[in-house]
Amino acid sequence: MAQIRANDGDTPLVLVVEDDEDLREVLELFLDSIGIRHISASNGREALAALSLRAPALILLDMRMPVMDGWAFARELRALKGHAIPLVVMSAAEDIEACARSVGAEAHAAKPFELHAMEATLRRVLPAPHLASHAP
Amino acid sequence: LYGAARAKESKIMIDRSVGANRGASNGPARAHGRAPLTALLVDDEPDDRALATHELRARFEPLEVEEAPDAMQLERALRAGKFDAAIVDYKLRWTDGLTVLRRLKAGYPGRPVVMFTASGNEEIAVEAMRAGLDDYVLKSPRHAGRLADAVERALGSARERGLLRSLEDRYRGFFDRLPVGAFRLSPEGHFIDANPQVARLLGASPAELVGARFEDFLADAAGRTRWHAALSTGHIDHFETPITRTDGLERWVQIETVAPRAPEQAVLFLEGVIVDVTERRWTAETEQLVAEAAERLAASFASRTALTEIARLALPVLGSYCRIDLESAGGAVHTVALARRDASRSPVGEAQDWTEGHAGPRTWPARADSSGHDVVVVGDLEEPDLAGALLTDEQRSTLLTAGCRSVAIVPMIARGRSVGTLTIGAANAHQLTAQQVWLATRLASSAAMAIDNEHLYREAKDAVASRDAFIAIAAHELKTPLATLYGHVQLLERNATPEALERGRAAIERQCERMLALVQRMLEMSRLRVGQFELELAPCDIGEIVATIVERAATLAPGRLLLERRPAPLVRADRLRVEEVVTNLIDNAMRYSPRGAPVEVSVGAEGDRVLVSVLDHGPGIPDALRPRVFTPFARESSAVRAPGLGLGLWIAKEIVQRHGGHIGFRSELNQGTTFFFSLHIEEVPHGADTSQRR
Repeated sequence: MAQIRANDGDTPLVLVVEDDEDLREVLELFLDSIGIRHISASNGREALAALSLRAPALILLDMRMPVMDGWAFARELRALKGHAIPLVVMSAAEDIEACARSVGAEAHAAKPFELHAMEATLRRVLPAPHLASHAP
Repeated sequence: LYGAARAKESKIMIDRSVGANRGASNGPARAHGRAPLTALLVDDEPDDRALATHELRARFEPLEVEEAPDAMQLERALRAGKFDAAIVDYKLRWTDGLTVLRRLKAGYPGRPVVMFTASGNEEIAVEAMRAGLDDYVLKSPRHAGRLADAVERALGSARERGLLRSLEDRYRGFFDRLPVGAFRLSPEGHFIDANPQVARLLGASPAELVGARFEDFLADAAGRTRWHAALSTGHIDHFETPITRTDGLERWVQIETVAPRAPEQAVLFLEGVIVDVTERRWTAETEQLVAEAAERLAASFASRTALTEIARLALPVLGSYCRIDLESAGGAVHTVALARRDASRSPVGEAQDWTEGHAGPRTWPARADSSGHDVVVVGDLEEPDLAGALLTDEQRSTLLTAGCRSVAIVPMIARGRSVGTLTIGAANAHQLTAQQVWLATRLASSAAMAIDNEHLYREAKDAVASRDAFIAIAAHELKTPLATLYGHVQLLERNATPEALERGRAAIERQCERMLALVQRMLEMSRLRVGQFELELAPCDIGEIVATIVERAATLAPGRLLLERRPAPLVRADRLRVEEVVTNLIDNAMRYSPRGAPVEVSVGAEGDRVLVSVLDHGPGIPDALRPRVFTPFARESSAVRAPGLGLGLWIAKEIVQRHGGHIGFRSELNQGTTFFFSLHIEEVPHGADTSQRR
């Protein structure tokens, strides 16, 4: 945690895509608490718009959203960036694992979240900051 | 015959012998076995009468002789008619023997007449025999002895003739009165004789039948082929066939010839009986048809295939045309099964499906009559008055084109509800029997029951599926506020500063409220589903309701809601329910609108209605989803996955429709969607207690 904070300018950026405003707030507070920078979108279309401006290191993606859902967003993302940006799927659905596989996600987090587990997942999936910044 | 000249001589000789022999007439040789006789002697010569009496006495005991020497006596004897046999001279002073013979035969055809004469020739003899003379004896000494023999023989053959005649009469009576048809056919199958029952069976008179060919009554080619084969054997055994009567009605008959012929005997005629087996066959066929229909329906509910099968099976029993029309939930009528047969009595192809384009929906009555429970029977479609009163012109022409003259339309009723009709038709007027109509009713009700069962089964299946979907969605939807709530709790574990505590407490409270609202909505939905839903009607200002909700929503999403409020009169409505409808539509629009895009709400009078519309600039509703927009959980099985219970629009629709209003939407892909509903403006009497339940 301290490590990330120490390299503040280099800390990875996480894009949170979640249509429920309250839950989005929880996720933002949580990311703040572990020192991860973040930007947010309330559906797939907004997320695509955000992608054109910033390059996140990871996307926390809700699946059922209005306007553009997680599946449609994942298709667009693959078309644009291939597998460059890892996805972590968030869902309350029973079939979350299949759901994650269907969009080629690196990991998944079942709602309601255990924040400890969520933190562990993020640290596992996120590229290590020193590796990301000091790559040969 | 002897010559006339010798006759006078012999007569004299006989005269003499009469007295001489009188005593000997009771000789012992003839005393035994003598039969009684009453003889009528028509002779104007007393001597000749004596001679005849003498000859007869020798043979008959007791003998009574009634003498008719003149016309008056003859008339008296004829009137009395007591004689067993008559002995008549040919040459009489007042007439001749032929005339007497004819009179006797006219009055008493069965009684023998013997001519006892000295005069006469071959011509007279031949003529007399033709007139029915039984015998003749010459009045000569040589021949007079034959008289008694002749009378005795004549009496014997008269008895035989009488017996024969009475046998024949009895046979005829028996033949005519047999309770079955009895007939005699030529070896080629023409009627030689037929009793009234045959005639009645074939719809002709017995006289018409003589000379007619039986095969002309056979109803089909197969029957004719079998008939020829049977005729060629000269013996007909258990021959069952449909026939067409002269009046066009169809019956089934069974034919048997009696007394099988020995192989070497030539066939002179075929004698036999014919029985109407229509009833027997009807019973058997009915049982079979009902059983087969039940089997088909049990195997596949009331599938189209099963109903088509039933129509096809019913054809030979029910007529020449059979169709089943069903009323769908929307009120459209579809012909789901049709079978008919042509003049050759073979079914025309497979039953066709007329649903697509042929007759189109709505040309057939969903109900046989206005009550939906009565059978309509039209004996003759060509009688415009009767047929016109019961059928539409289109139906009439459809049926006439299909070759029907008489028709019955039977309602298909299950649990008191009419689900469609079964129509049977026959090629001839007044051909459908009450039994056929009864059977059609029976088939219709088992089909209706199967349709109803299928309907109930589907409903139950749908109910289970929608309950499962509801539980899954409810669980899923509750997880979102729960995730938020749990998230805040965990955040507070990490950081319990006073600011964090206050923020967490407020968030947790809000999530609890959200969950409570969700639970509330679920309960509401379950009440709506079971119909426990009452409106509390009162005059409502819809414009004000809409404005209030828009205002409330605008505080959560500033600047996103635009309201256009035009004047709107009061409407009788349940205020809380209408609020729910408006809230649901606005929630839905906000959910689907991109962030920042406005949601435009308008309210105002449109004709005799108040119209509310909510426009969003969302993605629009894909075609595939449109039919299910107002069904519960429409989103669950669709490609568009959005949060919420998926009940808002359905609840809105239920409420609007319960108010007698209209709800709908217009949508264009990538442009947006407008949901709207309208409620009737009603005159609200001033001062009256307007609150009422409905």
